[in-house]
Amino acid sequence: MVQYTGTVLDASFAALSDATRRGVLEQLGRADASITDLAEKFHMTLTGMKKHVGVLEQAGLVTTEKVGRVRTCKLGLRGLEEEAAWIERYRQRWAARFDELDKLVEELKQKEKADGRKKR
Amino acid sequence: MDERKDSEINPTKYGTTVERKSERELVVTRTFNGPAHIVFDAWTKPELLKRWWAPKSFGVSFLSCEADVRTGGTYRFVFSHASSEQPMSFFGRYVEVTPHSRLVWTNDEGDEGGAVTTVTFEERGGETLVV
Repeated sequence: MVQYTGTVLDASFAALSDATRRGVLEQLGRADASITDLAEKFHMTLTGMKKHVGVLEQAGLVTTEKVGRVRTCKLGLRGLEEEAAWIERYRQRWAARFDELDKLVEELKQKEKADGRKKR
Repeated sequence: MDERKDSEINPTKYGTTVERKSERELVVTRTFNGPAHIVFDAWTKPELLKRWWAPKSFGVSFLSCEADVRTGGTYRFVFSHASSEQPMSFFGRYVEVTPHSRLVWTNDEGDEGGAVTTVTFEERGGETLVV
């Protein structure tokens, strides 16, 4: 069930929709790395990796810093917490609804049983 | 009877799970202790729907709840909210209604392309799994 259309989250979810980009995040979770390192690790061209890192950077999931001739990538501060928190809030909303629905289902079941007995 | 025991040992049996399936899809699952026709009724009869759709913790209450639940039918829920004088409306269209097993509706209140919600009801031994 989908019910959200915020640009920031859109960018994050779009960034995460690619297996290579998820791999890059995992890798950066272990250690910072240069674009060259990442390109090698994922068997990609520098240009290809730059593009992926660009998407992650725009979504705020990764930050990069150029020192001398090397661009180092690290996990963004915002990380995935915002997404996780949003999903958790969404879950709690449905859980609260469903707790109410439990009561209603129980009530309807009892009612049906009672009606069934009356008919017989 | 064994099932009853399981639910006592494992209260999370009726837990609500949310999983991201793709870039723009979330899957919510939950089991209810009742047959599918009852659970389906609770989702499709406005007078029943309004009793659980907006629990107190949401801070909103129904002003009206209209739903013409059949394929091509429309719905409109209007809520009042403590922090706003303007009532909030949610509305859309039922794309598919298959009694006791499947419901598909759109949310048309947003500016951008609205969300589409698909709910399936699957009965297993007197319980109903809602996805």
